[in-house]
Amino acid sequence: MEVETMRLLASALAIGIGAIAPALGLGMIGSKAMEALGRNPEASDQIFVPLILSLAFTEAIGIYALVVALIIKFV
Amino acid sequence: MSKLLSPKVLVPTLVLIAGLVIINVVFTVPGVVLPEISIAAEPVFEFDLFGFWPDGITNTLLSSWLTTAILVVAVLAITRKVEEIPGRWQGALEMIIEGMYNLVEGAAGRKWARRFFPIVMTIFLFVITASWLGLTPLFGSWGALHHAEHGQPVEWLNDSHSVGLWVPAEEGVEAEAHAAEEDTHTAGGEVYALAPMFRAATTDLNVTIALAIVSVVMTQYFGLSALGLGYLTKFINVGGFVKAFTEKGIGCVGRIAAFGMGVIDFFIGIVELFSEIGKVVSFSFRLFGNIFAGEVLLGVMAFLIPYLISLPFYGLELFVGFVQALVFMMLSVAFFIVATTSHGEEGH
Repeated sequence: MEVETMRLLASALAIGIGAIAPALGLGMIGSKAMEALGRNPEASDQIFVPLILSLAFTEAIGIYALVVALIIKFV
Repeated sequence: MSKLLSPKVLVPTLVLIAGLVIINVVFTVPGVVLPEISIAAEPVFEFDLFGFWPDGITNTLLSSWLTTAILVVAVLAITRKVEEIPGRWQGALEMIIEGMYNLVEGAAGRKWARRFFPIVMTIFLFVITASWLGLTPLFGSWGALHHAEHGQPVEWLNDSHSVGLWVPAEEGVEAEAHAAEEDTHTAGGEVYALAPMFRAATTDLNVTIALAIVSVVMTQYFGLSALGLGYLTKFINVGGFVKAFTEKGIGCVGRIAAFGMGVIDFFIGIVELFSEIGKVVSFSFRLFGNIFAGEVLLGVMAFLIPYLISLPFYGLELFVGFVQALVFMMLSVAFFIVATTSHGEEGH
């Protein structure tokens, strides 16, 4: 395979595989947050900040994959 | 949402879009081209003041100056005459500041919130303004064209300094296709790439690393000012060894066990040291990746289906800009809190 072909494949695989785990994690966080809200709607203020923080931590992993994919593709 | 779909808003929007499409059909404007995606910021000016900017001034530097200017001017104009009963603008500013302050106070407590707030609010305002500025017109779409040749120095076209995304597109795209065919970038006509005059400041890794370093250094500062030199034992932890040799009445076996725990504590301290570096990396790449990916997404979507399809993504990018600013701020606060709370002597 040529280098350019390999590059395209590698960047697609990097973001494709790298997005699986963060997606699962984000779904789990969201579902748990909704569950908590359903059980205790008054707690929405206390849930909000930790929710955003954990979403950010999880999403960061996906972003790393994206950055790696972009670097493979363009640098 | 219902307001958005009311005829008052919907009709002008649809008329505008229809107008754009008709103009496109009638005058055969050469369509939207796929924007040149470059991770590094492009230099747009040759301006070397005392050797500060040997590579010229980049577009992200320009827009970060613009961001700062907007913030300073807006705040100065609003607070020029502060009234007891706030007017419209003062009320809005007070609402933002107060809401954010309550958020920080809820997390950090009254005493520390007063010290954390200025730095984290500044970061928040800078990040959100920079990210949202990148969504305004002219950003990323107006700039200088240069010949796109890989590995070649940028060559300026002086006469076409103000062309947008839809420039010698036909020529460029054709030439690009042609070039791809022959596997060389100089074959056929000329290939152009656009170096935008402005580009959102947070799409430059330098900016986000700078912000991250500020945040992490302030973490150490707050830790030191809260715990004194005791803060450093978080990183260089020899307390376990001292305890192993000086504690009375634990016997020989107890002493060896305590020494083992001391070794573990010592290595945990080293891990903490590296996690401070990891914080810089994760802070900067999270912000950069989100905003940069957003810009690429908008460009690619506008290329695939012009005009219509990028509208919902604009909404998404507005939300992402806000959330990333909030995340940067709240993570900083969380790290500040961890640094200022003592964790030396309580049992693990």
